[in-house]
Amino acid sequence: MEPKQLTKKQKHWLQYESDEWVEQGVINSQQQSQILGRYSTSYVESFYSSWSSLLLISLGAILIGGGIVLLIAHNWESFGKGTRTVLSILPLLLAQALTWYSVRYKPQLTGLREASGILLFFAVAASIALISQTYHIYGDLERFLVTWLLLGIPTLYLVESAGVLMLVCALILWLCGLEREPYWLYYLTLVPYLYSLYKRQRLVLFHWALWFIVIGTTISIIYSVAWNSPLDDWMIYITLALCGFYYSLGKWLFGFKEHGFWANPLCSAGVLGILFISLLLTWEDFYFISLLLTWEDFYRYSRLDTEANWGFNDYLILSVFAISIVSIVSFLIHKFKSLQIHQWLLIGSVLLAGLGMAGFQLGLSELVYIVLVNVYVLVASVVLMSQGIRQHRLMLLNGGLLWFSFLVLFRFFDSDIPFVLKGVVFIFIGSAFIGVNIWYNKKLKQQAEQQEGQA
Amino acid sequence: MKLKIILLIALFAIQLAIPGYMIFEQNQILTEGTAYKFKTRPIDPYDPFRGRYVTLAFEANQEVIPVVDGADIESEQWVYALLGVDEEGYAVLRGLTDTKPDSGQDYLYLETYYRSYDGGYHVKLPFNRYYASEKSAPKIESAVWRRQRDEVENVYAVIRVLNGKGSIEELMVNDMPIHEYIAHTSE
Repeated sequence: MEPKQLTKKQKHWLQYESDEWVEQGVINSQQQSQILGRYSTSYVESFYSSWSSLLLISLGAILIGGGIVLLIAHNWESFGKGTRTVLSILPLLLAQALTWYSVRYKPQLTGLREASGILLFFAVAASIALISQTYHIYGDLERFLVTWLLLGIPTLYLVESAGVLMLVCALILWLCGLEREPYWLYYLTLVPYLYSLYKRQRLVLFHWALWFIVIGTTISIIYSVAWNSPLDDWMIYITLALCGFYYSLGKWLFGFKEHGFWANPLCSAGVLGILFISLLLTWEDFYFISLLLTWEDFYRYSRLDTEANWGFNDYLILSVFAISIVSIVSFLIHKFKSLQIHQWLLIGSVLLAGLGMAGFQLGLSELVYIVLVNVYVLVASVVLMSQGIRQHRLMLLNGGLLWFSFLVLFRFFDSDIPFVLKGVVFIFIGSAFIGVNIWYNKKLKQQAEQQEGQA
Repeated sequence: MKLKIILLIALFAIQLAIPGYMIFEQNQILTEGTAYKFKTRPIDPYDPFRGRYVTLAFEANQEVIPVVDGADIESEQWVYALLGVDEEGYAVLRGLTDTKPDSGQDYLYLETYYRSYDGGYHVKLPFNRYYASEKSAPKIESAVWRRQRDEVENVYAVIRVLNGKGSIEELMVNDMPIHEYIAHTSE
């Protein structure tokens, strides 16, 4: 009879308990070893349960999958159509068999499940690719990736593999950067899965997937409106609103407790976006930026092109813009009391978008707008720094310092300001940067010593 | 668990059905479709998933295809291209229409590319990939290019057409399948 599988912990418990039974004379030592012999700790489970082994197994499965794809891409002309057809279906059948065995008979073996899920994911692509090759079916990478993705998403739900989740996320990200279509909508199909990860406290995986979603969606939206879209002049405002939305959604979902940079992708990406875009808006002469981003005089042309061709994607992005604004406002209303001043200022940056659009309609001078934005960033960054100091939060302090320093650095490239003044300001700010950090670290150390003394 | 097993079986079936359907469809076109000769010129690129192939630059891709009277057609629209044969026996696209042709008339279902000043459209023939091994693909390209410079070469793809879809049967040079031709010339 095959021994029953136990985890190491369970086996340890049994060993401990049975030692006591022997001592108390309930059983003798021969019986004890007989009982213990009926159970075995699964070698597979103990080996596969650690993260590093899981990573190695996933990597192995990805390599094997990639190898199959390459072998197939090689194209064996000497084989007939029949042989090649069998060869194209074979990896798929083998991967399906392995997946079947894993899900049906060994659902507790994470390593096996990961490996079979990843192999199945690649085998699907390999079989489609080889059939295309055998029959010279024309190549359309987008269609190929979409078919692959549509077969990959149910695989994720049924096999529940972390590797497949990452691959699906990466595939959507690829599609987001490939075409100016709203492929980010596919991320919505992952929401139930992510929710279950969150419930099961599989947080590392959850955060990773969320980073993919935030990056993919942002790239897709920026790419879709970057040029030749009726919304292209609003691009900077739409992105700013989206970042404000990410930030407030992050706070809303995960609460106001600090989780660290990687653990709250929504907040982190939102803040990065807000800081970056607000700095872009401080430029009067957009020439420098337009070298990098080909945006010209966004403020002067902030109007919607009503004559251009409006497609589904444009309306969708406009809705995203509207939803972002509405969400930000309702977040502010709901969390009115819990919001601190620096959070108000970060979210308030979205107002710069509204001011830009309204300002254009009302005929506000461009210079006035630029000055207002500069003052806003200056004040907000200083407030961020002081809040960081008051709350003993180094990340907040450095975030404020970075925002402030970049504002100054950008002004360095403004040709209208005299060099001597620039030099003095730079030395002053550089020293302040170093000084504040040293002073702050000292203060932390003192506090730690005081606490030790009290203890 | 039972539901999961059923769903898993369904997923497996779909995963197998997609390549299965692709094979079925291509076989149907190749066995039941009408053969047409499309003049072409191959060039050799590469696809990370599907390997080496030669892109077929069809002459029809360079021509402006007229619009059939009464048809309402725009750029980047899926249309029916009516097929015919010229005096030399090569396939030509006679016209583009937005209504499905009657049975008996062969056609290709394809997307228009952009509009020409005379009202016709440029199109792209979809069956533009001839897969070959890493060894053969560059040979096919260089053989055809080299020969084309010296003499007028007769390069075409035999395409089987059925219900608007086309599938490559063979790539021919001087009425010889390309692999035979390469073997022949390298001797």
